[in-house]
Amino acid sequence: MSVAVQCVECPSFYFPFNKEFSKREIWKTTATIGRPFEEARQSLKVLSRECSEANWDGYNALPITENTFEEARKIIELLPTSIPMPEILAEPCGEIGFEWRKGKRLIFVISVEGKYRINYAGIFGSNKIHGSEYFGEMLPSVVIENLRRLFYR
Amino acid sequence: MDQIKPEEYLTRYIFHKNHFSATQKRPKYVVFLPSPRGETSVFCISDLSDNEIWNIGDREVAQKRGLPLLGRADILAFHVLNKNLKLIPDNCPPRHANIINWPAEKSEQKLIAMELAENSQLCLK
Repeated sequence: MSVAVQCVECPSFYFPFNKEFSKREIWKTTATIGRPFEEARQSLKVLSRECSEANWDGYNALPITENTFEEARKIIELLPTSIPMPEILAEPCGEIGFEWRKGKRLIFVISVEGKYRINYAGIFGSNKIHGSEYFGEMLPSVVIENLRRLFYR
Repeated sequence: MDQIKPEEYLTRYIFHKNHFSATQKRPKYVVFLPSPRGETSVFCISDLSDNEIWNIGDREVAQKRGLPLLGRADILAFHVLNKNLKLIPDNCPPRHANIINWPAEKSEQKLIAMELAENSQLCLK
């Protein structure tokens, strides 16, 4: 079986960002795409070992809960295959953050805290955005749009 | 230390390997996010040598927390004050201060922390 995915160098080719083509589906069928997906899952496992107890950062950070880890796993599965895997970070208030950085002042970050709410912030040169959105079975369109803005514009 | 001036340098000590990129030589935004109590602990490092800065981190922070000191993010106080944050020195221990007055919205905190990280310099131990 073969699967067509968007080339990161070809912004004109629009990949349908929907559930049918989620990372999880494609990961099951291809080894090449599955590798970063699996690495992201491994990063989460490491965070789960290191940040599940209070004060893991030395500054009284809250522990990351299992609900938050579960939600972070879901985010990874929902990410479009055309978007590079983010850096996965533990935040002091118990959230898990996902950071995409293309260069100096070109950054987009989202985080989850086990409440099906995404907090996001982005720096695109001299433009800045931030906000929050609830999500369910799909990533909020504002997240997808800003990732496209970061990588394809 | 009564008041920290914009031209003074601050440092934030780093204890988690996830909080910096060694290859890109930059601290990540999480380094500057406030603690659950709404403050970011920093030290004023103006007029200190590199060794003295590391000694403060080891003696006053790492040993008390029982965590190995991995690095630090140095930043000009100007960048903090420029974001409508406040720097409150408590000198406990000496040269210690807290960054307070963070906005309530977590997304806005994130944006500010990202800007602080962009304007800071990573130093690895």
